[in-house]
Amino acid sequence: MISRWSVVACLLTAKTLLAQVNLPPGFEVVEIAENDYGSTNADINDCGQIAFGQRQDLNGHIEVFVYDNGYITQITNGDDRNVIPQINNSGQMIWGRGVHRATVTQLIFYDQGVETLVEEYSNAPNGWSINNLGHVCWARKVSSRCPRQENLFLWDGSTANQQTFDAELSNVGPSLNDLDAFAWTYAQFCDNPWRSEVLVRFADKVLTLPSPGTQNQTPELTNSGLVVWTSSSRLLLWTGLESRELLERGGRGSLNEWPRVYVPVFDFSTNSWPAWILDVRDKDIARYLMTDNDFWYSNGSVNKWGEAAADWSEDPPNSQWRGGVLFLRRIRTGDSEFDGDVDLRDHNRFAQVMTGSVRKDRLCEDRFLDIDYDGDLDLGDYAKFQNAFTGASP
Amino acid sequence: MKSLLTFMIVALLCVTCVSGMALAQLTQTTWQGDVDDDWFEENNWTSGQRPDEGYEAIIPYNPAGGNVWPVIDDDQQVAEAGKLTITVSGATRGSLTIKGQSVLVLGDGNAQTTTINGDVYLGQNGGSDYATLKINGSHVIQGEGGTITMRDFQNTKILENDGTGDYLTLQSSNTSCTGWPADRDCTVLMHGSAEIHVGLDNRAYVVSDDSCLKLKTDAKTGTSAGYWQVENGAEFHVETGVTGACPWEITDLDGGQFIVEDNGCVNATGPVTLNAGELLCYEQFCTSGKLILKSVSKGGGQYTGPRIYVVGGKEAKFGSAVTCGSCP
Repeated sequence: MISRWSVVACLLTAKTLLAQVNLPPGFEVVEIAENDYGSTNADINDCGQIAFGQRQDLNGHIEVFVYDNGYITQITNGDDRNVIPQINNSGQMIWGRGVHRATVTQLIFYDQGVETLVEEYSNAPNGWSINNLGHVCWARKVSSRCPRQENLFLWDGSTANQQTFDAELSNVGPSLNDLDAFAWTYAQFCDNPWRSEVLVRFADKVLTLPSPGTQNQTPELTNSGLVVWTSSSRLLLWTGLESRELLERGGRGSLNEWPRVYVPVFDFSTNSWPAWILDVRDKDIARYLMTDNDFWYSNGSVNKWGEAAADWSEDPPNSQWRGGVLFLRRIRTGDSEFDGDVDLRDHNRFAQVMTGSVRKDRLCEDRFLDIDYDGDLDLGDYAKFQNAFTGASP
Repeated sequence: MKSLLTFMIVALLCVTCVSGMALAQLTQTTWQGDVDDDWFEENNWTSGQRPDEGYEAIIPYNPAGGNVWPVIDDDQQVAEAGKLTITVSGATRGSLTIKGQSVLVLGDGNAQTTTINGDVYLGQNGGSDYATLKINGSHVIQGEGGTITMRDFQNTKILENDGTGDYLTLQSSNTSCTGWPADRDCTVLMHGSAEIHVGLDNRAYVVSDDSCLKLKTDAKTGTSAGYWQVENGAEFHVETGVTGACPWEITDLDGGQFIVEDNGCVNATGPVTLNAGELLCYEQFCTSGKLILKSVSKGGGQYTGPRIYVVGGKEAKFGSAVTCGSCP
């Protein structure tokens, strides 16, 4: 008898073999920040800013950069190991630092040029997350050996408070939303085989997300309570009512409220990790393959506009670390509200936000009217806007 | 008709799928070492997850995060990998260190092949820094110049995982290599001090060169491309049945011993070469291979004096004319 899981596997295998690039309608792919050594992470906020750690060499020297509407700014400049930066909608960031390229022992909060040391401990934190309030949640690892005594801490901008108090089990990999709710991996790493659950702590309750697997990890939580995570290689979505399987095999996922999910999926035919976008609907899932190469895509994220960013490396098994950041962005047509037309509503908005021909950082949602992608909202954009004008109901 | 066609397509796809599962395909993940040297730190891997038996864990000679190679150092967390690939480029070698009483389970229960061109360190000298390697399924460890260095003979072990089909084969990954099989740089060198309990087919090098190496529990065998060797005055204990065509060699002038313990037995076809030291037999050592006892100048008028010592009632027999009794 063929189990339900087997049938799913067959269909996914066929799908993978037949896959070709098919981007979501209204989106395009651009590459940024390519170099010979690759990046450690890519995190996109709702303003379209992308934070990433870029390796300066293969010696642990990693600096943080931010891409903002066509421009890249170097945030750190030293000799340190700055890894896995995350950025919120205010442009505040958190990342891990290993001083002078040593093991990561610090958590750095960054806001308008000022660094704040949020955490310093002898072991690397086991995951961290920042929300749009500038609050930070992380997992402190007391010992690298069992019992690891890994517990979560929440920093509200001034004070850090411990959130979990386990002497035996591990609380790691937190994802913090704007309500200060967080999802995390609650694990018994000291069992063989190890096992774990994904938990979500809301203001009034703690949920253990139901799953078919025994090894649940890498959750990401949205403000409405959606969670994507992996369960013994399966990619699952918590809808608020049930756990829904999105893929039989998937890597670490990221999602927004639609929900649109970014996920790398290992391709056995090419031994690579192509980047996929899944638009999850009530009864089916629209799958989009963002790439047609044999590169390895890994950590990525999705913003509320459906844009996504992910880091990639060319061929890690063969020590080809050349890599960069893939950016799935909205095609700019002048339709600033994405209602399908370029009309007077868009025109009025354009008139309100024009900057002139001087680049402006953090255009945020106004960037969608920067039709020529040059960092300003000037007459050049207006000319294109006029040509694109359709009026209501095109 | 349409539904029949659909059924046939799905059935065909499922056959492909099931076949794929039988091949036990592994997902690849590569060590980056961006955070630290902790094997269990998920952000050190390209997949963002720690490897388990479903992964091929690839450890490159040049991790993206610098010269930081993975260390498994936790006596209660069990590390897993479906197979390993450790690469090398010239003198720059990828490595994996297992210590602190840690355990790595290698394999997924199926036939898998690990490739070690770099170095694996299994345990460290001193204290309680021993380690355990468990073989899960029929597993080949191959390489070209790769080493597995074992330390702490009293505690470092290579074991079967659950006993169902667990078996280890050591071999070269490139038999076209100039100098193969005698040149160690053409194959895999497993050496040091430890106990090897899992069933073993030695087509490479197993060398006791650091106090004491023991073959125990499950039977061992090998081919003429494999070697059992003693160096640095170390002891090589045989505590199980050993067959096959591997040469037995005490290679240097520092002495050392092959010791067939009373729970051991050798019924082999490989030659025996003793440059120094001793073959000590508390049980049968029998091979149809020839015996070469060398008396080699150590300088200053001294010569080595290799010898064979057999306790009463037991036999050590060599040469093509011998008939060996089978091992129990």
